[in-house]
Amino acid sequence: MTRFIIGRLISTIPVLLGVSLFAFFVLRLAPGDPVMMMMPADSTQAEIEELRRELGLDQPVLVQYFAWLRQILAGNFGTSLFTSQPVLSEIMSRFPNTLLLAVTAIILAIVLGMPLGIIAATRRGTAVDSASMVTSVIGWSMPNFWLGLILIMVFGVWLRWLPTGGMYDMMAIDRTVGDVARHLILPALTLATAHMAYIARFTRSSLLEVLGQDYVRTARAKGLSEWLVVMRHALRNSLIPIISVLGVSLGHLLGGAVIVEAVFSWPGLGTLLVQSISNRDFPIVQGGMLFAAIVFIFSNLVADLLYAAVDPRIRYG
Amino acid sequence: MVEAADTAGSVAEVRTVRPAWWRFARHRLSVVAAILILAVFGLALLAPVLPIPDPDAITSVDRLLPPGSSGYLLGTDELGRDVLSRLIWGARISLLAGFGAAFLSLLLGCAMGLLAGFMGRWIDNVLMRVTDVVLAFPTILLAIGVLAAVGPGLTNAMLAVAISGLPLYARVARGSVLSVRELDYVEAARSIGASTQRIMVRHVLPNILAPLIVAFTLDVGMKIVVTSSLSFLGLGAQPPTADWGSMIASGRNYIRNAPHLIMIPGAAIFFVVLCLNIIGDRLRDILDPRLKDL
Repeated sequence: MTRFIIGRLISTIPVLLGVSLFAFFVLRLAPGDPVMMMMPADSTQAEIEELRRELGLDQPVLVQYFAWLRQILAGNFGTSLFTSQPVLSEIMSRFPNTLLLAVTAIILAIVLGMPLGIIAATRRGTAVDSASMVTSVIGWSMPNFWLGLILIMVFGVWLRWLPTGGMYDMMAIDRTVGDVARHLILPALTLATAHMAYIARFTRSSLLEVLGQDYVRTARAKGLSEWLVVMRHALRNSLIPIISVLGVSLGHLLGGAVIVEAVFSWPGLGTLLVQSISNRDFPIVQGGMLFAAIVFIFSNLVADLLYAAVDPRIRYG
Repeated sequence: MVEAADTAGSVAEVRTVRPAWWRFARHRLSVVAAILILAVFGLALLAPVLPIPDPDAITSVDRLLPPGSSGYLLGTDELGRDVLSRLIWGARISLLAGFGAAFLSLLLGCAMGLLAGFMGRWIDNVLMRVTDVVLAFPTILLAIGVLAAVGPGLTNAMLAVAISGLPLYARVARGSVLSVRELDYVEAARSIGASTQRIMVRHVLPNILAPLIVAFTLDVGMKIVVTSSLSFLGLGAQPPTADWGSMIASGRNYIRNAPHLIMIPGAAIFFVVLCLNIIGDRLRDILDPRLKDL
């Protein structure tokens, strides 16, 4: 197991390097001179050259990349052009909100999606199976920004049960957990829908595969009730691949959260990035992309390690 | 019991002999979905000759009319523009963006996969690490990063989304190439002196198309959602161009008194993507059951 962990850790290094190269060079695609964009229109040539030297932009590109990489490794993601705050502290002030949204959405997706998949698999070929798979295709096909607006319209505007956006009540004096929870329901549900559909499908196909195995036939032959066969024998093994799905899901959710946050004005990483594009705040965009990719790579890593811990075939395969 | 299993087996064998289109046609829901998609395509293509008003024509007296108002089947928007006309013209942009992005991914990804699978060694290694890197960025975030650099706009959004789709096609193509390149007919082509390029294009490519077509059909729907999401964020098609995502974005301010401005274009996206996913699912079952977890 130790060898597996070390091997898997080493294999993330080239990906991390590639990700940093991509994040570094993608913003070099921007037309125009970044220094000119950062300086006021009436600055002198000397001031412009001064800033260029200060930022190291007069150096060859590769030198710039390694200098930048050294800073990143030291936890310095640069400074926001808009707020003049360190990029990392801007990101860290928003990330917990995105994480709260994403984790709630994953939990919702599992709680709603897995039973749907189990029901479909155990009643394969019946109307129940078709109905739950149709529900899943519908959930999968629903653009989440549209679903979010519909939920706002129904529960926020018409029924007035839930707030239409934000994370806290503007009028409230204290920020209570209950208040955040009320604001969390609609965005989390919106973000969860597509993943619920995905998990339902995955659970179904994974369970169907296991239900065809010999040991399930043995369990049935022993005279166990169908409930016990599914719950105790089949489901456990069919859950193993779902661990890897969850790792991938977190990445999807971080991406999906950008849209959902924009719809619900949720003060997370996504809103920060979208605002930064209109502010042309490149360091934040770059830092945010890099940060999200690193989170994604490590959540995949954790999922893989968990997967290997649960299923020895992976370690020795 | 044994007899029943045998009969089932032989029925399945008979079915696999049927041509793919025949098996597709047996599934009524997919046929309906395919017809509907063709109809939407037809409407989008015919937009210039259809008897609908100019999608950008502003009539300030007829602002925010609900659907069913006289002269406006689907109502009007905040500038008094005809929603039906904008929906049909918007279909051109939204479908072009989704299909264009998916097609670009398919072309580039397929080339990468073909090269990686066929050449092997360091080329394979480098190309697959590139797909790992692209996969490490969530689609929307990657697109936002690219758009932050090159600036918003429909073409840029398409390109940005296409990049994020490369790994899917590269991996599907590579996997298929690895199994096809060991087959006898590739060996035969090589032994009569066919060039590597000729073997790849004439012998390998046609035999790995089925899984790529399946991946494409399932991917197009997602690409339509992603490109309209970018338009919704204001990073895709720029005003006054009608496109489903930006229609929803501008209708958002009138959610209280004119919900149709959100409901109609959103339903259009949902409906088209749903049909594409139904078709894609069916094609996958027929052409490539191995991809069932895609």
